[in-house]
Amino acid sequence: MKTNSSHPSVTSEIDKPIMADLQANLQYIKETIGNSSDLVVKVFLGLREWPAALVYMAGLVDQHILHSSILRSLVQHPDRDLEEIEDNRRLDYLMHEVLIAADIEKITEMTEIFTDLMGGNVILLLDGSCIALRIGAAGWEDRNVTEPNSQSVVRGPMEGFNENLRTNITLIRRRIKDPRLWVETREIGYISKTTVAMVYLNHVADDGVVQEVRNRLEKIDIDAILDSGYIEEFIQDASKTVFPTVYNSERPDTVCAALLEGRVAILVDGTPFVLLVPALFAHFFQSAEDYYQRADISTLLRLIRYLSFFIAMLAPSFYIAISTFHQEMLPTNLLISLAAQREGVPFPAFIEAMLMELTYEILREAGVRIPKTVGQAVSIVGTLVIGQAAVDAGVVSAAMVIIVSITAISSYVIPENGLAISVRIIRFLMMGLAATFGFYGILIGLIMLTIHLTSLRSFGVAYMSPFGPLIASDLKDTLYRAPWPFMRARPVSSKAQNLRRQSKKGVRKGVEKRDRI
Amino acid sequence: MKKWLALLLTAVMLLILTGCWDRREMNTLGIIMGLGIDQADNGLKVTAQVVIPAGVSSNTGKVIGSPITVYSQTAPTLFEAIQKLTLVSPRMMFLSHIRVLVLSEEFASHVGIGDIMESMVRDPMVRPDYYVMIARNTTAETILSTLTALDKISANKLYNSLEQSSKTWAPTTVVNADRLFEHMISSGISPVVTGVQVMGDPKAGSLQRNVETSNPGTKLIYTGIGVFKKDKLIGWLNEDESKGFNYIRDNVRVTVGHVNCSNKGKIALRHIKTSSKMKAEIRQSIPSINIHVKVISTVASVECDEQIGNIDVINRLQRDAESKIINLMKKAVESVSRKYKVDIFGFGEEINRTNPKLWKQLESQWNEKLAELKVNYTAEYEIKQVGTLDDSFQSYIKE
Repeated sequence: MKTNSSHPSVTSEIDKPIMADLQANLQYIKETIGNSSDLVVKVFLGLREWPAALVYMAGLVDQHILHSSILRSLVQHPDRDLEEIEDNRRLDYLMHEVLIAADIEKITEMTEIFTDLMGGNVILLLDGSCIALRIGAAGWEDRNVTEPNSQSVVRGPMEGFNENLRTNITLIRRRIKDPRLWVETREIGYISKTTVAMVYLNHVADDGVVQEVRNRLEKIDIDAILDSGYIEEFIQDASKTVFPTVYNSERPDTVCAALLEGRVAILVDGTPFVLLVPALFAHFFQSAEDYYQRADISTLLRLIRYLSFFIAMLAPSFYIAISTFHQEMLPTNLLISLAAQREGVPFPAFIEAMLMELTYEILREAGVRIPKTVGQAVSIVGTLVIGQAAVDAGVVSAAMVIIVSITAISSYVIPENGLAISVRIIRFLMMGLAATFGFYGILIGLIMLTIHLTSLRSFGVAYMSPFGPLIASDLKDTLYRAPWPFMRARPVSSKAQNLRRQSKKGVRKGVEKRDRI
Repeated sequence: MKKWLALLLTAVMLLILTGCWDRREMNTLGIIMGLGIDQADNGLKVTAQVVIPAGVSSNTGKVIGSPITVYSQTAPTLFEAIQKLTLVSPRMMFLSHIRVLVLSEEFASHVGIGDIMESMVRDPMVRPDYYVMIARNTTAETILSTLTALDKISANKLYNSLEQSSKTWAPTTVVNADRLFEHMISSGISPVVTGVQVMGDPKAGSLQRNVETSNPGTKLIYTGIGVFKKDKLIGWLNEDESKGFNYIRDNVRVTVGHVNCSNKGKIALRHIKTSSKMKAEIRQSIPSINIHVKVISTVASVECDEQIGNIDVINRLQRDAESKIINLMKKAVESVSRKYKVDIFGFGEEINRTNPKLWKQLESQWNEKLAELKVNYTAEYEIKQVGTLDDSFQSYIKE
């Protein structure tokens, strides 16, 4: 459960056993923690001659548990003659007969005291005892389970993960009520001691993938993990790529669907973003809503997403290529119209496109960072710099504004942000190629991109599968979305062990009969 | 790592080294819409109709001045002249979007169009979908200088108007560069080219005032079909001959014709669908041609008291129309083979298709033998609809 890695620089000082002297212990704890004001030490003489102390971090413990289960039981313990109890049994007596909290454990090391304090436990130190009691009372303010900000849907569950790992695991368990849902936790980060949970469906997820995830998590050696993004960069297969090979989601339903496909989820305490591996190129075009809407609409939307991917990646470079190299390809009237717009525009199409794309990227970044109260200002200024004003000023042509707009809008159609970001990077490369070689350059770029994409892997699975290598049976949920009765098998490409999803008939006989009535 | 860096640098340098040698911004192009060729003392005079984009596009607000400008230069060859146009034009001449190629009658009949077509087809930048036409009784420069209303770019007007009329009016035919070239090199068919004329004062046509009135004084109009022998213009077909020619070549789609009523007046018939088939028949190495025209039409107007509700009347109208079409075709073939001795109908091509061996023997003296060729015409005219009225309006009008 706990990490066994030791980091001498930080832990050696506190790596010692608990002493028998209460005052010395308390002194030591205070000093180690730097007399931090949120450390609460309550010295306690209620237990007759046994001086005791409760130590906890304010804000990390549930006040209700502290009062009703710990303090009250200690003060109002059954009036037995404590003198009768032998000294070495005092602790057991307290543990089994006085305290009514559920989660109590004996600890002997100072290290454990600090880890437990930070984990929201209450430590009961007893004078004359080298053993302390750890009483689980964790409870702090959490964000409520709210609708996820990213990956929102019109139809479907509106719950999103929050920052609490326990809540997040609960959200998954509530959807998959099966003992095969296994959760493995470990602590990563020798200072932050962040709990990281690996969740998978045993006998569905591939053992090799599970073991690989375990190994890669094991290898992480860092002081702190503040978000699942840290983990993602440590465990991803290829670092020299702009494409994400780890999927992340804020939606419990998405995570559950992935688990049911045999993928492995990695939950990190303190962030609502859950990682999913293996992640394939096609996964980034799947939205949770695809599965809640009718199949035909979902298929259409999915095709639109693939189209948007290409528009977001290639629209400016296409425009550059056509307008500076291949004017003969345009319909005559369109050419005249475009030429009319370009009259008096001072820059070459490439510079013009670069200018507009950069402006847009700046606006986008500003829009994300800007405080909500002044957000309006950005949109007003934005419409000026990318819009009619820029055209009227003679800096850019109207067609370019349209191109930049369609590009920007298209990149938001991709349901997962990670891929949308990589598309933005590729877009600039493609623009450079288009400006130097025209369509020839774009084609070279696309060929290189295809080679690169097909060479990528995510946890042993080819990134472009089921397209390359082609797995025909998996196209049912990638290129299009087959109606649920036809999705009888789990995808082969996520390496699931047990492929059967529905019985051969698809619909059970009993259900059919009942439906007829 | 160093190796990778070097590789990357090399790749980047390769990109820069080639440069952007064929890059051209749209606003550095003079888009030629129409190209005209006239005869000149020392070679040929090339006229380019270049579009002024700002003068055409409607979204830039008020359009001032002419939508087109015309540049002319004289040089021994076509492309020399085109390059020479930059002496007067501020922009590089861009030929890809040329819509019409206008050749003057003088040039076409004396010099021949072969060399021009050769250079135009050879250039990979030029799409061979532009229409070729002959400027009748005028110069190509005049045709291209004339401003037109409705379609501001007159080359566009020439293109669209020819396309529309060839679809809806039997006597015109479209000849694009591709087809013209094909017919020029094929032995079994001689090329034809549409003629275009200036109606009204040619000088006034180039003034903006011309398009500011509701009835411009100067207009461009298509007239007749020019007959070519090899690459030289040798004569013109009149309207009836053109009709006959188009029926034979299966160029007619929709048109309107008329037949006479039994007493005074006419009945107009609108073709809904027209098709014709040409078949060569060879008996004892003597070829003959069978032409079958099939028309489905509707009654467009009845300008007499004919009882078209009566099936006999319809039958008679059909027979009249059939014989009329047959007559048109017959006249066209007879006058062309008598006057010009060229095979613009593609009879030779058809014989070649049926019996290539026989064609090999006939090929060399085909134009002479053309007059002896027996051509059989059949027509099948069907009036399927009579419109929203039954008998003529005239029979109901009260005295």
